[in-house]
Parts: sequence; structure tokens; C-alpha cells
Amino acid sequence: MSILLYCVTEKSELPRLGKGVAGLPVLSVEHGEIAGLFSPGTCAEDWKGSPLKESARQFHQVLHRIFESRAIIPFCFPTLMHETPELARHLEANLLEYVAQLEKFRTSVQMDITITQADSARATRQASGAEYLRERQKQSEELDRVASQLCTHADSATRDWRTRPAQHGLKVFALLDRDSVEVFNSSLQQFRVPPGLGIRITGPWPVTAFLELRQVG
Amino acid sequence: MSAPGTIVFADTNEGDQLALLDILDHVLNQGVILRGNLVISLAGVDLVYVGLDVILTSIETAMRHINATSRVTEKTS
Repeated sequence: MSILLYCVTEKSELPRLGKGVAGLPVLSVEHGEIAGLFSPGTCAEDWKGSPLKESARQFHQVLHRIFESRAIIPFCFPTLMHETPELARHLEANLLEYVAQLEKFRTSVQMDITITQADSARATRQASGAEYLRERQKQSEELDRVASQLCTHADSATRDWRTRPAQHGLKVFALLDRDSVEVFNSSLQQFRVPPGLGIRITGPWPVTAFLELRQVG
Repeated sequence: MSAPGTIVFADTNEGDQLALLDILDHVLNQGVILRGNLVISLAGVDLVYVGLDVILTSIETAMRHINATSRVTEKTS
């Protein structure tokens, strides 16, 4: 038997935690100013009964419920520990890191922008290696240019940006205040998408792309 | 993937298939990863003992393998 970890958050005025993955209760263990949320009594059998994606969705629903009213630092799913004292020791060992990050991003959320190319396989159809590399570079420059235009377009609502290559395109992460989401979305609604590209915006998400945690163990 | 030439806004709480892909990307790939070792126990038998970061991407495959192994064992016994 293990415990399944959800996230770390500030311990003050925790909302109702309710049920988690596989209908298990969501509990908290506290240390200093922070709380670690988990479900007890989990083991592999809990995921065997339903597809992993359903468990992942339930995991997300727990995070979303807590994140609606406060900053959280989520654990990747599925992160397990043997027992509650192990989580308490982990919180104690990493208290300063968690407190600093929760404080830094207390009022922040993250929006994800995925820019995709309609014909991302174009490069692979080139006759030679050199042409393939030229095409890849051209595609990459096009994505970078659009990402930069998006950043400029929503600049007034955002505090920071990060980019990461993604399958068929580029992923852009925007850091903004919780109350700037509407301004952010409406500013990008005016954005003219270049031909051949698709842009998908999701969020608000907990801040993960901007976390600066040292090796947490 | 979003349609070419369009900009799509998706609520993270919606239940469609695309939102599910976004959710999976987040819960599996983003967040704190703890370094350590882990034992997955099924029916009281310890099955897997590997680095936790490896488990994060292989648990479903492991489950399929376990199920397949169980079926083979049942057939041969």
C-alpha cells in the first residue's frame, strides 16, 4: 500500500478536499506553512480497474478543485510514497523551496499556447538531406516568429514567457496574474493566424513551466 | 491539433477529447518529479522496482504486460 501525491499548497484555509483518484479520500499532511495533499491506501489495483487516462482525469479534477482558489505545486501523476511520514519528511526537507515558489506564484496562473503547422511533415518529403534541414529551419523560424508576435500581442497581460518544441509545432507558456486571464484571451482573439498554422490556447493551469525547484527528493 | 488558420480557446475543465490530451500532457509531463525507487505491488506480489521517473511513462505498458503475463500463466497452469 502507498499514498498517491497530488500537490503542495499553503496550508491556511484549505478548501474541501473531497474524493480523489479511484474514489479515495484526499487528505493533507502539514509542515510549517505548507500542506501536501494525498490519497491513502493506493496500490496498483486501483488503476488496473479503469484506464490510466480516467485516473489521470480524476487526478486533474482534484488539482483543478484546489487550484481554483489558490496556488499549487503539482506532482507528476502517478507519484507514490510508501507512507504519510515519508511525505512529512519530504515537506520538511524541501520546506523553504516550496514556500518560496508558492509565495512567488501565489497570484499567478499559466496559459498554454500550442502552435501547430498544418503540414509539419513537409520537411520529410524533401529530396535531399540539405533540403530537409533547410525546410526544418524555415519551419522553426516561422514558429518562432509567430510565437514572438503572440507575445507582443498579449504583452500587457503577461509577466513572462517560455517556449518549448512540441510535436508538429511549438508550445508557448505564458505567466500571468489570475485576474488577467480574460484580458489575455481577449487580446489574442484579435490575433490574425498566419495561413498554414493552427493555434490552440488552454488554461488557466497551475504554474509549472516557470517553477524553479532544485532537485527535489 | 487545432485547425489551420484558426485560434481555438479551450477550457481546462471541459470534457472533450482534445481537452483530455491537454490534461494528460499536464498531469504526466508537468509537475514535480521525485527521484527515488518504487515498488508496485499487485495481488501482494512486488512487481516493479525502478526509478520513479521511469515509472511515470511506463505504468500503462507495465499493466498491459502484467495482464498478458497473467493470461499466459493461466493458460499454462
